[in-house]
Amino acid sequence: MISAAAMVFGRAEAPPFRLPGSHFAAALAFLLLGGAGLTAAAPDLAAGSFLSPRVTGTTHLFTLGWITTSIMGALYQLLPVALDRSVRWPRVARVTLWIHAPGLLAFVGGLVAPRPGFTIVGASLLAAGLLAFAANLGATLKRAPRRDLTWWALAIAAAYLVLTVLIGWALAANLRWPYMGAARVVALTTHLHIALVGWVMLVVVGVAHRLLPMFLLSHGAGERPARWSVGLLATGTFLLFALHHAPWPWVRRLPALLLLAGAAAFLLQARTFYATRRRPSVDVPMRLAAAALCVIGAASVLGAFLAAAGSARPGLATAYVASLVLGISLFVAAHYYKIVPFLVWMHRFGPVVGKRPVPKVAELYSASWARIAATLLTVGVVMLVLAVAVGSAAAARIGAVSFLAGGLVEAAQMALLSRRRPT
Amino acid sequence: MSGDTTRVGAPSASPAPVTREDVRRALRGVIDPEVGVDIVTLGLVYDVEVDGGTVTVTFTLTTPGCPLRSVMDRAVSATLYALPGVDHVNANLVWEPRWHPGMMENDAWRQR
Repeated sequence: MISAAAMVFGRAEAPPFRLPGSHFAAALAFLLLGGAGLTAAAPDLAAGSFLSPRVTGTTHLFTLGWITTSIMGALYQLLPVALDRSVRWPRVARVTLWIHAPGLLAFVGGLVAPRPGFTIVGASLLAAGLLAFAANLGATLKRAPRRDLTWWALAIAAAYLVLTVLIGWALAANLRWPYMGAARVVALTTHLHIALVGWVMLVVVGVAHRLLPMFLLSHGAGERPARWSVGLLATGTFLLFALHHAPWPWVRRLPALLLLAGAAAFLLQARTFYATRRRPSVDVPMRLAAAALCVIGAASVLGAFLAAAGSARPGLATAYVASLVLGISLFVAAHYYKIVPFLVWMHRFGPVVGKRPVPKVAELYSASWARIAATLLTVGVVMLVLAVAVGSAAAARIGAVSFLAGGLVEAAQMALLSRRRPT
Repeated sequence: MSGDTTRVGAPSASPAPVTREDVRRALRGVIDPEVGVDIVTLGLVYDVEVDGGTVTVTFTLTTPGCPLRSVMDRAVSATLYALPGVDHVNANLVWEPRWHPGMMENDAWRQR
């Protein structure tokens, strides 16, 4: 049945607040767990032990807990706007979170405990939830009336999410029933890059070229670099998957080159949006997003250096992964200050517009506290990455504590503003 | 999309006829909640027509498919019905021509 609103506005209808809201609440909880995990794993990170259970568990709290859960919630809200299509199966969308989130907790708990049985059960639940989400996203994309850059980025990202899940489940099964031997490290590296670049970065590029102009008022800046970025990241990720066992080192460096070029194109696109903005001042969320882009740029350079050097440098490799994961995490954190207040305003204050005075979206939270959160998060990430690169456990822990404190302030602000209602 | 509504229980006395300037001045009270600037200064109001007590406003939003469309439509209607002499409002939300920041008035940020 098509509702009256859907008939008026076309076939796309914004979801009820509780769908993105429940995802954002769960994601913020995972952000705090991830921050606590960073604090606990700081010595392992500084030692370059990227295969340690604490580091692996914390990485998944960020990638699947904070980043992916946030992407899910944001896409449920964005798809009707960007693609003129509501999510295909709303009931599946509501259920996947309750499979995915407990699965992640069981998976991480099993890793850290260590309880391989928990790990494989958790990984299976995670896989079920993520595959259901990917199927729902694919079905929604299939019904979209036009295929623009956002459509292509999301479609390719959904395919890479499926690949990420399959390799991830195989790696989890290897913990319970070891069969990979020395190939585990290569499989892990491939899994990590398909997840971070093929899934997350493609979504970020595909969505950011819509959101950044909206938040900066830089419409019409052109999207050619974003097109290049999607093409290069998608091709680079595919070659990384196809060539990861190639016997010639120069062949294995080709994907790294493409991924670096793709990241550079994305950063160029973002810089263009900032440079052509009509807003005279950049607000706190967009400053945090800019800081995040700088961290992602630094991660790209570090990754290129590691690929060119071709040697195993655990400290630098750990710093590279940390900077990429935390850079993307900062970018997501920045957008919470735009998306969550907007949703609260639209659902709570929108209905009384014209009947009584309402605040502006940015007035729903304290800019001063947002500045404190952004500073703590950014300082924490920079300090942590530098500490990991030079091998200082104490400095890594201080950076992790700063990040966790920033996450607490942001989560508290989101909790408070989600309770705001018209007086 | 057209928000075509008629005031219920409109007063029978005839106040001074509303003008296009009155309408544009009133619409400066409708704020884009995300940008924080009114819709006239943002250049979102494309056209205003006044025919006796009937006002027709053609406007757009900064982003096609913006979920605020119903809210802004209601804000425009409510604001115009508050004007004396207005008893019918047509709020036409259009997506063409597509809005761009070059349509903003030069002093757009002074009011923030």
